[in-house]
Formats: sequence, structure tokens, C-alpha cells
Amino acid sequence: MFATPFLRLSKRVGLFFLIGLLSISAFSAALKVGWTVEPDSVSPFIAYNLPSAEVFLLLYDPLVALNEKEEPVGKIAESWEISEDQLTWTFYLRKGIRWHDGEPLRAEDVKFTYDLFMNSGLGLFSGFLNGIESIECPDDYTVLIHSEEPKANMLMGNTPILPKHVWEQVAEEDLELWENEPAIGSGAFTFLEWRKGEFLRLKANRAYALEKPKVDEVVFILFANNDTLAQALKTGEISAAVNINPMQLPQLSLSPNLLAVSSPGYGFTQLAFNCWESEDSLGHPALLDKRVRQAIDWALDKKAILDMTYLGQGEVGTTLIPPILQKWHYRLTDTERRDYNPKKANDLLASSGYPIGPKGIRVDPQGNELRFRLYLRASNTQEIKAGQLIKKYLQAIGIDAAIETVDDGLLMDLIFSNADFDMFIWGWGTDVDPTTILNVMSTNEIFGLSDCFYSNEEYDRLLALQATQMDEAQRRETVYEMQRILYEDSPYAILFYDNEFQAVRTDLFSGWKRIPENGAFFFTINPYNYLNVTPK
Amino acid sequence: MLFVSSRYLGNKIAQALITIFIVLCVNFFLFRIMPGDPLSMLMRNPRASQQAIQKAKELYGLDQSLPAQFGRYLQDLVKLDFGVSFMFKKPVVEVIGGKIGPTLLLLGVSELIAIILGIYLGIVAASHRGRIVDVGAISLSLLLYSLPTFLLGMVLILVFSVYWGLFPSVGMVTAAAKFSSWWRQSLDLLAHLFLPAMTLALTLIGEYGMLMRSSLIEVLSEDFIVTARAKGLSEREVIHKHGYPNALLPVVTAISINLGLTIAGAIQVETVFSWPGIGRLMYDALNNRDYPLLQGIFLLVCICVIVANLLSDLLYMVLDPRVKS
Amino acid sequence: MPLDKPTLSLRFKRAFSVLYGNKIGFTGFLILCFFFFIALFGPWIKPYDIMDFGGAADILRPPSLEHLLGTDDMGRDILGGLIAGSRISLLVGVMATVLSMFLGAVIGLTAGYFGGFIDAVLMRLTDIFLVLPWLPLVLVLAAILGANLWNIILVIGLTSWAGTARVVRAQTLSIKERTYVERARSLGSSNLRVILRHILPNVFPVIFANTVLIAAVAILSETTLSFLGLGDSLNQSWGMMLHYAFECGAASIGAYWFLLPPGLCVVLVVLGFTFLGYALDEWINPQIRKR
Repeated sequence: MFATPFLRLSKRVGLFFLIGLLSISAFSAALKVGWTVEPDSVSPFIAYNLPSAEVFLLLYDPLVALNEKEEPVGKIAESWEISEDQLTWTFYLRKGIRWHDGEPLRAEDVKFTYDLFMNSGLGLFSGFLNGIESIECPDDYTVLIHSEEPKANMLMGNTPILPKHVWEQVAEEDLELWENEPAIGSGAFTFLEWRKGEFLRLKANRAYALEKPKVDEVVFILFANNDTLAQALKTGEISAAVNINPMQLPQLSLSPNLLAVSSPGYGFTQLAFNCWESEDSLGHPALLDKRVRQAIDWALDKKAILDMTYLGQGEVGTTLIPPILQKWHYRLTDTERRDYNPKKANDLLASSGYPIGPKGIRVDPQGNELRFRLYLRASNTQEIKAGQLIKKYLQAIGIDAAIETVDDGLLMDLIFSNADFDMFIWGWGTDVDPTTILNVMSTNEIFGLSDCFYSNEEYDRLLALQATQMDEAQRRETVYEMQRILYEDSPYAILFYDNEFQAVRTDLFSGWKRIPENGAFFFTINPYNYLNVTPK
Repeated sequence: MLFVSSRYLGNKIAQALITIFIVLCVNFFLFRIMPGDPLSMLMRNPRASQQAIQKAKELYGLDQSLPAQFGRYLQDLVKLDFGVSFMFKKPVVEVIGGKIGPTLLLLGVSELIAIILGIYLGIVAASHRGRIVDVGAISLSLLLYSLPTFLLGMVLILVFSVYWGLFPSVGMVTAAAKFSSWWRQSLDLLAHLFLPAMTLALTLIGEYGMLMRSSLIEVLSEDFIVTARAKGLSEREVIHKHGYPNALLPVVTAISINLGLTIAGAIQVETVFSWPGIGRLMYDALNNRDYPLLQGIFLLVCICVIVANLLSDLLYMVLDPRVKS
Repeated sequence: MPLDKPTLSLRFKRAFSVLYGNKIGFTGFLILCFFFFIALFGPWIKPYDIMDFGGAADILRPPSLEHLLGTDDMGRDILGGLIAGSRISLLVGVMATVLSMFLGAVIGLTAGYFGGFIDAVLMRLTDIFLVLPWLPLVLVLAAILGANLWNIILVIGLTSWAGTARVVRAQTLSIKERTYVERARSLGSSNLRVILRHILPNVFPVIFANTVLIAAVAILSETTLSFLGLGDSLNQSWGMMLHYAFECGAASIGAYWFLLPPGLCVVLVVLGFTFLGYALDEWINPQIRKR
């Protein structure tokens, strides 16, 4: 290590010298959370990334949220009931809730919010409202929601309820540009200050009707990289850190003041293929053959990739829904699973008409070499490592992966606007409800959220069906079947379900709780830790 | 003599203006040939509607032809309107304005430290010319000059922050801290400033030291020093009265000529220490392909450097009698 | 042969004796010899495959007999990586310098030799490049062109020639006036011939001294670009190693063997070039040396 006896000796002298300089007097009960990615916006119509969703949980309350056991609990709604035909939900709102600006919250706000999300189709939440036909407000505290078919995910999604008196002033065509600062919500924290690129400050809402936060402020501080993030956690500049580097986990775990956890995350990292069967597609035609995609999946030693990128912290990838969604994740049988087997991959390619060409690279029946562009995001070290390993594995089966590192914006442009790619690596985060992630693969989302341009009629039919199945067991069967279809067609080779790496200071705050038991502190299904940790 | 110097002055200013104009052109066209569609970056929204895209295009002026955009760009520049930042969705001037303070503070303090220590180093080296102290000073200067700024920053963090725990390594203030008095707040700022300023200063010291050394050696062999010696002044008096003032001239002008290099250092230092200044902003703008912001920063930095060069020329003219004729 | 035109070999003999006499310069020379030797013969000394990833147990191992400098975050031998990286770093340094030197020499010679309008235009261009802030320009260009090795070489070469051009022009102007050049021109030698035969050999020492300093700048630039995430992630230079070391938090987890060796190599090579450049500068500007 670096510390020589000389350094240690001087440390004391130095500390003595500077003790006055650094002891910041008044203790402030601010929970400072360090992160490396900040929200893309605090407008729910513009924001698409996970940090934004996390901030919405604090600023805005939904009608109904999920507790730590994934059971629905009332937030803005005190209680609710469903009609016998399962087509009408009635929500009874809590009385006396006020917006952060002091205006009272009424049923009209709920109707306005849902209508605005559904009409615009924008943001992370509008997808959750699919299937809602109309909304009524018989009085200020009752909301009736009608749907054509039963709506299975009515109580999920954390859709933030927005103040009508604020948002009705925004013209519909401005919705995608209006930044909503300062954000006015009804949640446990109010918007205080956001210096982009530096920090986002939220203040405890003292008028909050439900359980009040025990801290005065939550401050999210942006770090340029996860090295400085870990250092700041060690020095106590921050009390909690999300997206810490897995390499630092063993060392952070050694500190008695720190609780560092590696917990299954709500998401996965995938190798995606361009599956668009259209003349406009700029992808390699051989990738339209699902046997090629399967062969690639056979050829990848995902365990080794996980070991190299995340020190084995996580689970080898299989189906679309991550295992942390225990209710919905489909566990493949041994015969279905494609475990690392380069021989099988080679056999499959050979028998499907892709012989090895003169340059040692396989060629398709039209004589095109199986030389695929593999786009990697320059900003993500883990993905770059995975890409280099994949290149090595594909070499072994006669496929050449030409790696190109690009920045996020360019990659989004290549994928979503032009379908100009063969393969790339990135990941998705998922919700507690499976609909959102399943929806990404639907035909409707081509030139929407679909990043692999996959299309399958049966899959689309099942997607619509599962959304209406109120019986959980039945719905689960449908969701299982959908995952089987995707695994067979293999538009993604899901590499791994990466863990979340977070650490908190136990000497500065008490009451930390992992959600669920093996889960993380933040970016979980509810904002428990922000509300319940107490400064020491 | 006045006539000559005003012509010289006019010439210099004209040159600077031409350079600025060319920078303006380069600045505009360079940023239009970047790969990728800025709008898809801007919207970050795969579901953006046609109307919204159109509206955004109009807002950012991307709906016009290149020459038209260039015309509009020049017009706006006159009005100090650098456009709207994609990332911050605020006028670029406002975004940059908010970050100038920290950078000026960092640059100012680092320059001050570097000048004082650099000049001292140069004097020590020059007065021990050829001896071990001199060789040591030269080697140290060259070493500091050769060290990538970011590496030096990381080493300082490692030693002063991680192992000794003396100074914070991130940001400019302890975020969201409440201070009991203004001087505690100032101490907090100073603590945060220490490492970044030292890093930047160290990279400059080598250069100023070498300049001071060679300048002093040169000055001490000039005729007027010989004359001063001949007048019977003591060696000490000669150096203090005639040596230092004249030797300082190139060092002083080097500060402004070097501004470009100092800014390069600031970009790295601000990235390593998450210092909320222009350098960090440039890094972020680069990663987010925020054209208007990048353009604004690039232009600002270029103009500053050009003006600084002009000033150093003028300074030289005022201070050094030889240039005037 | 005219008396005022020393032969090249004589110049080099003088250079070497000055270099040897000047300890700093000689140290730089030795450092560079060492690294160029490593870069040239490295693959025979220690074979290295960038795709030869280790297993999970090989990640970030401290130095041992098997891995003298430990392993990196992908289980690869760091000593091997350094040796392989020396080729990339020095390649960027040398290629960018050659490009820069070529541009600087051509522009400086042309401007100085022909004078007039061509001179005015070229010098204006040179002034602009001299004045433009180096790192912002390099960053912007690298971002526009995309991060790969040849683009990085191109960017560094394109942004670093101005100093050379200016010095070369000044030297050309003075040499142009010398009698043997005048005579060659009056005897009807073509311009190209005069430049190549009579001017270039005399300008060469100036170019050479500049070259050495530009090489230092080029390697520093590549390292800085890589560190800021604009490097070529597939050709692992020392700068990229530093980038990855920083990314995986080598500093704070105490993996000094990942951070220090590439850092030290960069510093040593840059130092080598700077030392040598410093010595050459003293030799070419004898004013300082003689006193």
C-alpha cells in the first residue's frame, strides 16, 4: 500500500494543524447521497432515466404506492375498491392534503394528471395508464377510473399526481420542453435547488400529512466518477453512495462505519441485435436469422463476463424479467437454457448454412461475411469490458465483431432514429410491474422504445392479454410464456442481471433498511430510507 | 515615437480582431460537422412528436440552412446571445456566467502561488548557476512540466485526501452544509480550494521558474548591469535594483501568453476535483454533445486567450523600451 | 563547399558531445533509448495479448513472481500491458510529431522562402493556431472525429505544428539571404531544389529541436485525451491504462500497481523528451549555453 510510516506520522501532525479548518460547526440534518448520474429532468414528461424516477418518488405522491412487502398502501388515496365487473376502480382521497405551494389537492388534480399522461403519451409513467378509458370525479375526494378490460396493474407504477393549477398553464406542445422548475408536488420533500452538474437539494415537507421525514434535507450530489464518490463517502462528505464501483466493495466493507451492499438490481445488461425485417434496416441481414442470434448466445461465457465486469456480483442473464421480480421472472428449464457451449454454437451455424469462409470468418448463403458492428458506450467501462470479451468469444465461432465505441447520444441516434447498427450493449431498468419491460419488445414500440426492432404477433397478443388478467396465477403463466418466446427468438442475449452497489454511513445515520431483505437502500420500490433514517 | 507605437498598437489590435473572426467561423462550422443528430440528443425522447421536434428545431435554430444559421449566429453574437444550452435548457451566457467565478478563483489563486514560488525557484537556480541546486531546480521544473496535470491531481488526492484526510477532494463547498459564520464558510471554501489550486500551481511553477532563471541570467549579463556594477553598486543592490525588475518582464508576459495552457490545466483539475467551473462544464458539455454550450465556452476561452496575448504584447511595449522603436 | 555550411555529420558529432557534456540532455537521451528499445523489441521480450483475459481470481492481483507488476482490472499482466502500451504511446508520439513536423516545416519553409502574400496568409494561420487554446481545441476535434488511434494522431498533429512553422520561417528568412543560396538561385536552380538542397539542411537542427519538444507534448496530449475518455479503448496506451485505473478506483482501493507504472512511464518518456529538448535548445541557442 501507499502509506509509509512517514506518511502515518505526519498524518497526526497534519491533523492537529488543520483540525480547526475542517470541523464544520453547525451540524445539519441533511442526508447527502452521492451519485454519478443525475436526473435528466424534474418534469415527468421529459424525464426517462432512473435518477429522475427516484426524485419523483420524493417530490410527488402517487394514489397508491407499494410497501416493502410489495403490498399496495394508500398515499393520496386513503382507500379504494373495485367494482364487481372489475372495470371500475373507486379511489377515496385523503382529506386535507396540500400541494407544496399551499393549494389544496382535489380529485380534479388526479383526473387532470392521468388525462395529461394518457393524451401526451410522454414520460416514464404514461405506459402504466394503458387501458384506462375514462376518469370521473363525482366530488373533490373521489376518483372513478373506468377501463374497457380489467386492468391488472392499476395499483402499480407510482404515477405521480401533478397539480392541475400548475400544469394547465403549460400548452400541450410545450410539454416536452417545459422543465418544471421548481417542481410543485405533494410528496414528503419539496424542491429547493438544483444546480445541474453539481447537486439537487430537496427539503423535508413539514406539512406532509403522512409520516414525516426525519431529516431536514436530502441532497443528491453528482460525482464525476465513482472513485471520487467512494472517497467522499469515506471522508464523510456524503452519507450514502449509489452506483459505487464493485471493485471498491471489498475495501468499503472493511470500514466499521460503513455498510456496503451488493444487491440484485431491477434491471439487466444485454447484447441487443438488430432484428428489423425491413428494407430500411441498416443492420446485417444474417442477424435476422434467429439461429445466428442463438448461436451467439451459446457462444458467450456469461459467467466469465460477469466475473470480469462486476467481479461476479450479479446473476447470469437468461429471460427478460430479472429474478428480483420473483413473481414474474421465468426460470428456464435445463433443456431450455443455453449455457456456454461454443461447440453447439459452431454446429448450429454450420448446419444452418454459415460455413467458414476463406478468411476464417463464416459467410451467409449470400456470401456476406458474418462481420458485425458492435457498438459500445464509451461512458460505461463495464460495457466496454463485456464487449471486448464478447469479441473474443465470437472469434471462436468464426464471427467477427468490429467494436466501435461511441457516446450515448450518438448511439441513441443510431438506434432509435436510424436502425443503423448490428449489435450493441446497454441495459434496461424495470418496474415492479412487468408490463413496462415486456412492452419494450412489442411491435408498437418500433421507432418508439424498441431498441432491437423485434416483432412477433403472438407476443403482441399475449402482451395485451396479460394486462387484463386480474388473476395473478393466470397472468403469471402468460408472462412466463412471453419470456419463453423471447428467449427462443433471442432478440437480446441478456448478459447478466447486474447488482446494485450502494454504501451508507452507519455512524452518521441510523435506521438503514435494505428493501427487500437482500435489496438495496435506494432505487428500490419505495423511498423508505429517505423517510426513515435518523441523524445520529 | 508616439506615432510608431500607436501604429504598432493598431496593427496588433487588427490582427487580434481577424483572429477572433476566424475563430468565430471555425467555431461555427466545426460544431456542425459533429456526428449524430443534435436533436435526438436534445429530446432524449424516442417518442417525441413531430410538432415537438419542429418546435425544438425552431427554438434552437436547427431548422434553417447552414448559411442562414451562420448569419443568425453572427447576429446573435453581437447581441451576446450564444443560444440556449441543450443540457441546461437555459441561455448559454447564463450557464457560463454561473461557472466563471469558481474558475477565476481557481486560476487566480493558482497563478498567484505559481508566480511567487516560481520566481523564487528561478532566482535560487540562477544564483546557484551550474551548481547542484541549479541542476536540482531545473530537474524539478522539468519534472513538474512533464507531469500530466490530472495525474498530479490524483496523486495529491491520494496523499492529502485519502491517506492523510486533510482536505476534501470534491467540489467547491461542502454541499448543503450550514455554517455558523461567514469565516467558517470561507475556511470551508479554502479547504476545498487547496488541492486543486496546488495542483494547477505546481504545473505552472516549473515553467515560471525556468523562465525566471534564464531571464535573470540574461539580464545580469546586459550592458546596463555592467554599468551599474561599474558605478560601484554592491552585487546585492545590482540584482535587487536592476536584475529582478528587468528579469520579471518575460515572466509577467508569460502569464498572459500561457493562459491557454493554464486553461488546459484547469479543465483537468476541475474534472479530477469536480470543481464547478468552466473546465468541468466543458467536459460535461462535450459528453452531452451540447453544441451551443461548447461553442460558447470555446469562443469565450479563445477570446480570452487572444485578448490576453494582445495585452501581453501591449504590456511588453509599455515595459520594454526596446520594443517601442 | 562554402565555409558557412557545416555538414550534417559534423553537426551531429557536435550535438552528441554537447549532449554528453550536458547531463540533463544525456539522461533524457538514455531514457528515450530505453523506451524505444522496449517498444521495438517488447513483444519478443514478453509476449502479450490484449485479449488474454484472466479469470475472476486474476483481477487486480498485487505484484508477485508470476506477475511482476501485478494484474489489471481484467486480469491481464500489467508489465505486459506496459510493454504493449509503450508501442501505442510512442507510436502516437512519433506519428503525431512526424505529421506536426512535416506541416510545420512545409508551412515555415514556404512562408519564409516565398515571402509576400503567401507568407502573410500562412503566418496569419500560424498565429491563429498558436493562439487557440490547445486542450479545448484538441478535445473538440477528438470529439468530432471520434476516438480512434489515427484520429488522435491526426488531431495532435494538426494542432501542434504552429510553433515549428514560426521558427522554421525565421531561420529560412536568415538563410535565404546567405551568399550560396543567392548564388544557387541566380544559377537557375528550381525553388524546390534550392529549398531541399540548401535551406532544409540548415533549418533541420531547428526542426529537430522542436520535434523533440513536440513529441513530449504529443504524448502528454494523448494521455490527457485518453484520461478524459476520448482515447481509443481498443488500443491500450499508457493513457488508456490510466483511464481504466482511474475508472476502477485504483487510487482509493490501493491498487497502486495499476496506477503508478503507467503514470511513471508517461512521466519518464515526457521527461526524456523534455530533457533532450532542453539540451538541444541550449545547443541551438548557444547564447545561454556559452555564458
